[in-house]
Amino acid sequence: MKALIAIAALAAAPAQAEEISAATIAQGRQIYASTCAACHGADLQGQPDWKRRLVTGRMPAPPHDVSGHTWHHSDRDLFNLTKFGVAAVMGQGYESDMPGFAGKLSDAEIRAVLDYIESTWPARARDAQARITAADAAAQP
Amino acid sequence: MTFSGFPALSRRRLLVGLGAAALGSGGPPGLMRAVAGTPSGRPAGTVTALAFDQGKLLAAAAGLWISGDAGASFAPHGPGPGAAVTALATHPDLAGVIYAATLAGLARSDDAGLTWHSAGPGLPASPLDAVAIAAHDPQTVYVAVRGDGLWQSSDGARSWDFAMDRPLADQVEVDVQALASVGSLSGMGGYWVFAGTTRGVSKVPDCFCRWSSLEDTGAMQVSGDEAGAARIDPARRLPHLAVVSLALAPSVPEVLFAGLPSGIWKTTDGGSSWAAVGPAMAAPILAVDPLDPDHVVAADAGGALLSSRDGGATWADLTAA
Repeated sequence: MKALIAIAALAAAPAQAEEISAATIAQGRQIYASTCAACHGADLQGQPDWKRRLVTGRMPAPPHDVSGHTWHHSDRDLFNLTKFGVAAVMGQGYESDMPGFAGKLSDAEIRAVLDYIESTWPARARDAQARITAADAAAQP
Repeated sequence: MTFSGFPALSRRRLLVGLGAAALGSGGPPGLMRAVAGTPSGRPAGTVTALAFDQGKLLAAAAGLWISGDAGASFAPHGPGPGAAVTALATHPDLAGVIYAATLAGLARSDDAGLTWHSAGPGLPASPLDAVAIAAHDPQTVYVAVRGDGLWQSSDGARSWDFAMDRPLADQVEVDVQALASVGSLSGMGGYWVFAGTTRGVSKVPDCFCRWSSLEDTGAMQVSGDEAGAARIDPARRLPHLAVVSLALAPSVPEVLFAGLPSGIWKTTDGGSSWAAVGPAMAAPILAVDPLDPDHVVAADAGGALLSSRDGGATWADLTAA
């Protein structure tokens, strides 16, 4: 059922604007600090030793800076992971501490957070992530 | 760990000593004669790893063995890296470079296996069960550290970083016994790394965000992909049994071979569906010639040594000659 919710979200995921305003990035930074930083780190650094499982068997919160793998995911995937949570998007019994923020953050607020995160990446990572996003969009029916 | 040197030993004594050390006291009768150069034409002892380098077939058994005639005959090729070899890795763009995962760490040869040096600075001091060279970048190397996880080097094994914990199977971490870099796009700006585990095959994108099962398809396995996986005939899925070997030619990433307790399995669609090929073998070790993706060689602990020149459709017994 959760996976079906995710499917519906794909169609509803907003398209990324061509130009991101400084105000949007500032808004995203503020929301990140209040909503995301507790797990992903104030400086986007993730939880310590984030590549090794917690005692619960779940993976720690990864960094969102360029040392992590966030920039390897398309905008569509990042939006859905944030809105619906990792477990709902992955399905198949995958367990994660990352909740969905649907009902807590609007789509625009989620997008602002992602815009802020992406604004911190070096050009190489931003360009690579843009290519991944474009390829993902082209692959959608 | 020492992989080279031994200046005080003659070559003959070195071959005997290291061959015996690699197998311990359980080596087969005749080991020392064969390793010392008796022209048996077959690798002495159990073959624990196979690889092709520049069209020649390498076999790790008691020492290293080489075949220039596709496995019809072998000749001793030096002592190998000096510890029991669990896997070999080569790359068609790195002629003469061989990595050996061993019970004592990682070794690298730059002269087609004649001499070896340690290549694991920074790796845990634990046995390695698998090694693979990235299909798209031969300077990137992956190893599986027993009881630990995957480590990655991006500089030809001069330095290493922890990449990913071990995969989960039925909520239990399982060791990786085989690795293959599969050069098909992961959807995340990179490629896939496949891992043969004690319970089937898992895969992870080379950004190392998460392990997934082979039945998953697509980058994030969102629901539509679940439906796609469900369409796969269960009889065409790879059994969730121990996978001791994975092999493919980098130029044909959708075709992989896997060694299971029941024998050799093959996929032609990147791991979604599989079929058993060839005669029954006991957990065969496999190698595919990167210069000829239809050329597959398999060896098992029972002494079987088979070769296929047609992608696994038919097999020849190389021990029958």
